[in-house]
Amino acid sequence: MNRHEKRPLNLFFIEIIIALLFFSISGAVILSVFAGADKKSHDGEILESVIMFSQSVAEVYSLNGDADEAVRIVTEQCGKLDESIVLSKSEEIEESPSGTFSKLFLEFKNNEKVIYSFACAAYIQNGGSR
Amino acid sequence: MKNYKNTADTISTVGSMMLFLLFAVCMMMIIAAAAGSYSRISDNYGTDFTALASIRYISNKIKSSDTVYITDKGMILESGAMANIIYCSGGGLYEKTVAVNSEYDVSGGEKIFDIDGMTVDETEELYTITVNVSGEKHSAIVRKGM
Repeated sequence: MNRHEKRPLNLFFIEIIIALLFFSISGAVILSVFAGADKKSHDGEILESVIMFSQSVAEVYSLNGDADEAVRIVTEQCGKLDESIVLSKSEEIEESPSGTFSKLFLEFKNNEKVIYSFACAAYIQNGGSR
Repeated sequence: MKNYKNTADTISTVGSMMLFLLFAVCMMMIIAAAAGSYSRISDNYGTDFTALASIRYISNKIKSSDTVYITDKGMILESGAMANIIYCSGGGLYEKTVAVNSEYDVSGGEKIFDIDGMTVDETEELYTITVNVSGEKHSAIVRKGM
């Protein structure tokens, strides 16, 4: 008789524990989703700053045709990129009797992963005009 | 025996309530974390959008204008017979269109974006636009006439 009286309480207890377990798992999933959203937001913020940086570099590069100088000017006036960003650049220069045509390729990496690549060009006439 | 049963019931009830309390506290913490995360994402998005949109707006205006004058209070962009006065005042970026050679005063413009400050510097055909949105500075360089 005694055992019959105790059983409903034990079952209720087990039911509560199962319900809490379910909600705990749901909470963990929701937290991980929000953490992922937060990371994506941060990545988006970095990408936007990288895009703005590269566009500024392209504007300066079209004026002077010097990649190092363009990056230096933009870094000085617009501020540095996030420390996790690695910028690599390459240049192709074609000389002609009338002037110099140069192409600049920029590649931005975050944790060894390319997040943005950009190409721009400049034509500097021999007289110095652009 | 009855005392034992009552004690067991009490312990079970208290245990259940404690578990519910734990559950409620955990849920509150999760909701607080989620709300904080959402608020941060929303704020970042709003700040970035406002900053980038205002920079692009100003840079497009600079590129499309014939003459740019930078003053203490803002900038005057003359294009044909019209002049646009872009200035920052009272936490907003304002624009006003007037006829060329009329009085260029920085009042009565139309609000475009909510920004805290704006500076434009000119060096060798390059304009450095800096906007201040929610304490964060965003800058870009633009070349006129490209």
